[in-house]
Amino acid sequence: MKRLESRKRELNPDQLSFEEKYFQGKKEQIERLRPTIEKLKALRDNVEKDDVELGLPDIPMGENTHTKQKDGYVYNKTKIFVQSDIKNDIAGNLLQKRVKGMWNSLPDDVRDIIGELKIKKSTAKGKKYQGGRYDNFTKILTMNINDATPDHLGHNFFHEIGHAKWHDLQEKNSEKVAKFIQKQKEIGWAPTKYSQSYSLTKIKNEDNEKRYRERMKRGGFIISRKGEEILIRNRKTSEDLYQNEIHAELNAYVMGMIPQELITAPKKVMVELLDSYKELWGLK
Amino acid sequence: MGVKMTEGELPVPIKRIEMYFNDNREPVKNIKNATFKDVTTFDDNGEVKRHYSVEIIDGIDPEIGVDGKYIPEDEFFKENDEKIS
Repeated sequence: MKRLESRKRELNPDQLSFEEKYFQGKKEQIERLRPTIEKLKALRDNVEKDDVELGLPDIPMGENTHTKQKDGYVYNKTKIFVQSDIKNDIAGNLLQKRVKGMWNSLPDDVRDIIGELKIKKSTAKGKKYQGGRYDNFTKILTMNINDATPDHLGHNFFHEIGHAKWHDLQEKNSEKVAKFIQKQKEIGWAPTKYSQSYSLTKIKNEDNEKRYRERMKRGGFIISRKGEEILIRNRKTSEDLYQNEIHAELNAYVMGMIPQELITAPKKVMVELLDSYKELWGLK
Repeated sequence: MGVKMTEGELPVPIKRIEMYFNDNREPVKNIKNATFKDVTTFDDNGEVKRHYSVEIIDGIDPEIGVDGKYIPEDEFFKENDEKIS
């Protein structure tokens, strides 16, 4: 499956016709959701034109052949949970269907990484909302949806999927991940401002380490072996997270969820970044 | 005046990294300008434990309770699900 096909599937006409029906529902919720629905319709109508304008190489995403279905969710091994509150709420249900469209557009191997998919309405009250969450130990992907912030849904979903893929590959083939990291260092760019911002965590950690070493020196103390181990681990943690975020953004692009205006790397660099992504995943 | 250090004091291991962003997914320093934050937590070995994002609306961080302390993750992520497959 390619990015364009994936995008079309996610913005499928059945889902949008449901949204149109929803316009006949409650007035307050309609007004809140109208901009999102209009945006979705524009995306659907321009999906091919926008993709051409992006002008970047397309990348095949792998086979999407799973056939088991429950409530329209395609699955193989994944356990899927949808909170009953969402089904009973028309706006929540609308957004749940968006998640379903994205989930169903995933390639088989990516879908199989996720042990459990949980779709919930935020339990927090008032103005307190949660977004997506991926637990690397339990392999549970949780999407907390709220109709007050529908625009974040796609970003949250593919962002968390990108992290899931990264950790899965780290467990199965850490050498490939190390090679990808090395390549990213050579390129020296992140694809978006979002991913670039994680270079700040590296800088902050370097600064913290420098200040720690200076304080130890001033006090006449020798840094213990354990202390050095923590410093090494912190360096690796901050560097790995930066690369992890770069990968998550590339993943979101490949799966069709990065609008052109968010890509800050020059086109030539973006092609290099995507080449390293392809190499990482053995794509042609 | 610098921070006073005692012998044997260890560096602080990274357990949690938070970044605040606006709707254009640009990093912002002030939470008042943020619309969401992304959080990564790490275990004792420095391995990623969880990635998650949290909506920030009107400058309110939902993970911080009325007493100004972080709400424990397990409490923050209460489960209430219906199984469908």
